[in-house]
Amino acid sequence: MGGTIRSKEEAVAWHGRYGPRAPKEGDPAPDFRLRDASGSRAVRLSDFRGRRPVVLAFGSYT
Amino acid sequence: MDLIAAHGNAVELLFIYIREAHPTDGWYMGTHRIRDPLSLEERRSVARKFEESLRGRAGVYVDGMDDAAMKAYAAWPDRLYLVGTDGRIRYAGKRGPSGFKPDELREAIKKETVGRETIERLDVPRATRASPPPGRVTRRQGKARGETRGGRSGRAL
Repeated sequence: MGGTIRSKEEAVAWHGRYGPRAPKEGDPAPDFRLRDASGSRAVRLSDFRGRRPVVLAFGSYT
Repeated sequence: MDLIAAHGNAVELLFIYIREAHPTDGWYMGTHRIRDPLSLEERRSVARKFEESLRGRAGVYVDGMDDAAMKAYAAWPDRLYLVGTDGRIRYAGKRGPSGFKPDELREAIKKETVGRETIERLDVPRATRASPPPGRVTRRQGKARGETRGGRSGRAL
């Protein structure tokens, strides 16, 4: 299941599949390595361990 | 975003641009006329527009075309988390838009950072009050020696 979500039904199905995987309070945060909008700088979530709390704000333009 | 102004120095803020929620070629709701990017470069282009709107106050990072981060956090269409310094989830928001609640996150940040501030306030003064580093002169010692600010003691104080 991937690609653009095209309807409410597809959204419900997506959450049925991935919703249960969402980490809960107390769980280890899944690590990731992402690049910034310019593509030049990478960040790894685990790099902040022992240093600062991290806010993750997921979203899009629409 | 109020969150940046309130807590920008206490926490690291990572905005993660993920698959569009309501693009023109998807579940379109008549808001912004943006199609869901078909390539990573296209995603970065849209993310740069978002980053410009933040005026450099926070970094915007881009999920890969495999949507790995979005899937790992069940983050579509939008979602908030707070990760503690131990790498564990401190706050897990519900999925947006109904579960997107910055006020809840703000409270979680307060709880998380109050402890950190307390530790810093306890540790830093203790270290500086114990004794000045070798070669440094305290203001009181400088006055006793007749030194003035701006001279050698001015830099040392």
